[in-house]
Amino acid sequence: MGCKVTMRKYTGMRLEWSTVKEIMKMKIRQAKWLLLISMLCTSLASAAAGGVLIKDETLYSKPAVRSASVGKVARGTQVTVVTRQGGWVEVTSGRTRGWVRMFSVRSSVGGGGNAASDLAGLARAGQRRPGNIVATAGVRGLNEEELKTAKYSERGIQDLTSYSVSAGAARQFAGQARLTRQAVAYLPDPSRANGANSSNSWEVQ
Amino acid sequence: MKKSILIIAIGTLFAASAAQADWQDLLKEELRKQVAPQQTELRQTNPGEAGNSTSTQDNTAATVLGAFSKTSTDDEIRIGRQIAGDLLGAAPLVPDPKLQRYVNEVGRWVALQSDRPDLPWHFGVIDTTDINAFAAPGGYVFVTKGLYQKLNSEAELAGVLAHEISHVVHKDQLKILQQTQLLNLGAQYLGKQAKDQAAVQKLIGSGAEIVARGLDKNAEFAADRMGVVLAARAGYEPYGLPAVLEEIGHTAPNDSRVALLFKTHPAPAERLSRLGDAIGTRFDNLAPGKEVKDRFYRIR
Repeated sequence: MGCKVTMRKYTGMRLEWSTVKEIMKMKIRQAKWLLLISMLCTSLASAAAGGVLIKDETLYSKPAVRSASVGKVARGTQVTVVTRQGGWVEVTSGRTRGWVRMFSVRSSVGGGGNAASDLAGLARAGQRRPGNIVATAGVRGLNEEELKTAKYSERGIQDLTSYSVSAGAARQFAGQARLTRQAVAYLPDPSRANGANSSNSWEVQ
Repeated sequence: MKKSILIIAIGTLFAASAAQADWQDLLKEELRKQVAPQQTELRQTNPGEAGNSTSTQDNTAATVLGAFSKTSTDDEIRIGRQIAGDLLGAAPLVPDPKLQRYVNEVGRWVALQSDRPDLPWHFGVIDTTDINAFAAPGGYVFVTKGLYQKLNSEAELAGVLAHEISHVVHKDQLKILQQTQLLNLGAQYLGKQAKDQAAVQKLIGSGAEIVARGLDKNAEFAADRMGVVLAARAGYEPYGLPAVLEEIGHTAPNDSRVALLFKTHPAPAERLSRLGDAIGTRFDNLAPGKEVKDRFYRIR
């Protein structure tokens, strides 16, 4: 599109093909810069991702319900997610800053993703980029056809088996990082909640 | 995580329609012999009638579901091994012994917190840029290199593995096998014929196509719920899995690396929403788990 405009601009002149090529090259260079700059912006932005509250929530001073409340945020409020700790995210909204449950915030533009997905995130957020920038060319994935035609690999199974770990070795491995067993009950299916599913049906043993 | 997904479909087997009636009769016999007590209640079937194949109403999903409840663990492992071998034929293990060992250590520790701690669990990272994870019956769990590279801590890895471990514990893939007519043939193959590799391959279909089929949405939500619990039981902070889901949710939907994952799983946002509802305030009083970032193994 940019090239068309350029050519129209030069229509009144005696236009040589080499000139057109030069102009096109220039435009491509500009486009590259634009892309680079937008990627940089995105990666900077990703340090603090955007999000939106999906329910009314209390903001806490610390990532714990027992901490002091520092205010309320209504569903739909746009926030900036600063960091996550356990099941909590620290957010800012205007001048307010506080902790809120991670499941109450739906983040919009990603943090830590690759440039392609971040750009796509921008596109979803309404800032459409020209052309299709999702850089998946040359990426080789698992497609259904490959899976269908896959041949059993005995070698693969043998390798896999050679890396397996005994229960005892796994316990030792856990101990090295001071991981200790916790008694945690299974979570009931909330879609089947019906009175019986009260808070005391679950307990930390 | 992802994911993890198994079903079967073999047109060629259906093609043998002439033989199908016989297959089904034989299956019914097998079913009556194999049906577990709870399924017996369900069907009001008297085990004493085993071998009587006169009832034509037995070929219901409920009955078929009963078949694999008695699939022996050996059969289950045999099926899983075949699927795993096929998958490894499509995408081999990443040639990094330290990585593979590490994933087995984390995975085995998490699996020890499950209701099936004694399965011969196998974990592997397969060499593909795809972002996904798979489980196969009998304790086979795979994470793709593409997904692994998105992880930031051992707790996140534990969460992903725990989701897949949950599919194995729930026997979700076997249930999918049952829900297809193919199980009829499968039960027959495994029960009557030599339990050879060719027979198992016939049961699971063509190559590893079974991993390209989705499980029921509810099976995914259930695996998410169990996954966070298993990770928490193992001492990890339980939010590794949702953090990974959040991260995957940022991937462009038209990115080919997530095509299979998104085709076979509910959208990350929906999974997060369901998981958030299930957790609610239930983890508020848990002892804080560990993220274990320092020894998290990074792929070169």
